[in-house]
Amino acid sequence: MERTIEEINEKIVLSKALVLTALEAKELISEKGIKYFLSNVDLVTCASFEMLTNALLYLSFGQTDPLIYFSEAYINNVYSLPAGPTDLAVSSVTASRDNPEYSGSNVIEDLVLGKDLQLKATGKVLPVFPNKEFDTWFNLSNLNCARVFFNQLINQNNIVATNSGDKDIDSHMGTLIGKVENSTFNSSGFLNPLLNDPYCKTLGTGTRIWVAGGNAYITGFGSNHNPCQKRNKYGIPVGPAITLSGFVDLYKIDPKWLRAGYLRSFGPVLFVGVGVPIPVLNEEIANYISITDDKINTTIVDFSIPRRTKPTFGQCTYSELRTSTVMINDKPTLTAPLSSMAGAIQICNILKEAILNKEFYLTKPVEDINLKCDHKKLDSRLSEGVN
Amino acid sequence: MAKKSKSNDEKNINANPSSAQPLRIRKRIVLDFPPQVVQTPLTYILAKEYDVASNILRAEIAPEESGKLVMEMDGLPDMVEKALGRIKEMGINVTEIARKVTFNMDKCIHCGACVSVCLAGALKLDKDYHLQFIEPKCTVCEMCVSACPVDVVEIDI
Ligand code: SF4
Ligand code: SF4
Repeated sequence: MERTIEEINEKIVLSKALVLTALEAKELISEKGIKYFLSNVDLVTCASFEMLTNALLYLSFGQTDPLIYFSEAYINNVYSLPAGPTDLAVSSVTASRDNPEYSGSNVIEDLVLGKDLQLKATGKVLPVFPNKEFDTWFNLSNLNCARVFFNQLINQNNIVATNSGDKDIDSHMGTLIGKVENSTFNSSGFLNPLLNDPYCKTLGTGTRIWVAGGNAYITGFGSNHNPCQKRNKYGIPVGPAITLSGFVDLYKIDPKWLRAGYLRSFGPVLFVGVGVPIPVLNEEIANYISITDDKINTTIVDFSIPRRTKPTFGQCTYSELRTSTVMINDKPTLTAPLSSMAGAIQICNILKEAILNKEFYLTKPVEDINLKCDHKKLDSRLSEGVN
Repeated sequence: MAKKSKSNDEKNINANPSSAQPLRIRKRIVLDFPPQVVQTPLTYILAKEYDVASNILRAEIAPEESGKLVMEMDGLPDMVEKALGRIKEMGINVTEIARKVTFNMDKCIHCGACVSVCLAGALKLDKDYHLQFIEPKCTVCEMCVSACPVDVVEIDI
């Protein structure tokens, strides 16, 4: 049994498509088997509501009178990089000049909340652009374009972080209590799009996805993309592997699914809801969709050593992690996620509804994701640059 | 260096991680000293005899007058209780400040970051992965306050 994306889209138009969430799909498969699932279900919605650590906001303002060419700008006191006469780019991790806990992430959040923000800009003072200074308040409706580029929007898998040292460590994986007292993980496991399509057979550059309610597209692989991570016998990588980048227009975003956060001793983070439809094109994809948390492994990493290569404590599965206690070095250890499963389940349902309401169709990727191994590390080079 | 261990599929994963060692608790108290006990080396006694660390938050004491002290005690639960009994025996009036943490659930995204630091077991994700606060188990250690990335937890004094 095979089907194409076009066929599924036609069925959506005719209200004949059978759409399930990843949760429902796995329940159906365990009850009725893969064959039944493959011949009846057209499409499965997957989601993540994970903590992201990088994003770039791009804003296009209209011209001022007299004209301005931004030379320096601040939005709510967060440094904003001029990217053209009236264009600004804001990094999600730049902190405000007066409040270390307010950052570009909060600027993004405030924009989608419809709040007014303060722009303070100076101009280059050029013959055609004589404006020297411009201060104003603005909100999303005053902008010509506001989009966010996430260079690591979807993560296939992640690690479990723990700490064997004596002291607690605040990290991007949360507070890790010393002597392996706790551990954290950051993945929506069996709901994650890349764990339902582990080799990106249905996803690629140009695939339309749901990001926080807005229109979004996958733009290719992302930061820390490591497709050659070791995989288990089901094809699931045992640690961080494929990552996908994407951009989203801020205009239709539901603020519920885009939340700025702050982690002590790490800095700004963003929680972003992502929904991805996986078409059940053939048996191979149906088999991948059948994978449940007990077949998804991850690696337990010791953060007590702040080096690139850290010692590990072996592997565990997500079903173990979901019990809240995992054995680390023979010790039962408290474990908890950093990504919201409750949120991911809700997103699967929202996307399913949008498809059934004919508001969301499948797109065929215009290009495959590069799965060649080329994960580079940054080492210092003592000699000068050679050109 | 950390020891490497093999995958641990067969081991008991339901053992309670917090049962190994009793947890220290923190209590804030206001002490009203009558003039005759102002000179007592209170924090020394608490540390030496009860292993209770005390952190003085506010002190209004003048020699040979009555005084007031706001302090935080940190120790094992039974030791803190015993220490409190001892303080009362000295004729010092003790008022506990009821501190508690509150969760602004409208803002909560159910990520679980707070659950990972709650060694007292007062925070859980239920079967639908929603955050659950089991207040009677809370020792007000306040670890969850800074662990929450989106500022859901507040301390009520
Ligand atoms: S203060 Fe927070 S972390 Fe500490 S016991 Fe209470 S709920 Fe748990
Ligand atoms: S860390 Fe904060 S947002 Fe996350 S579950 Fe706990 S209270 Fe909710």
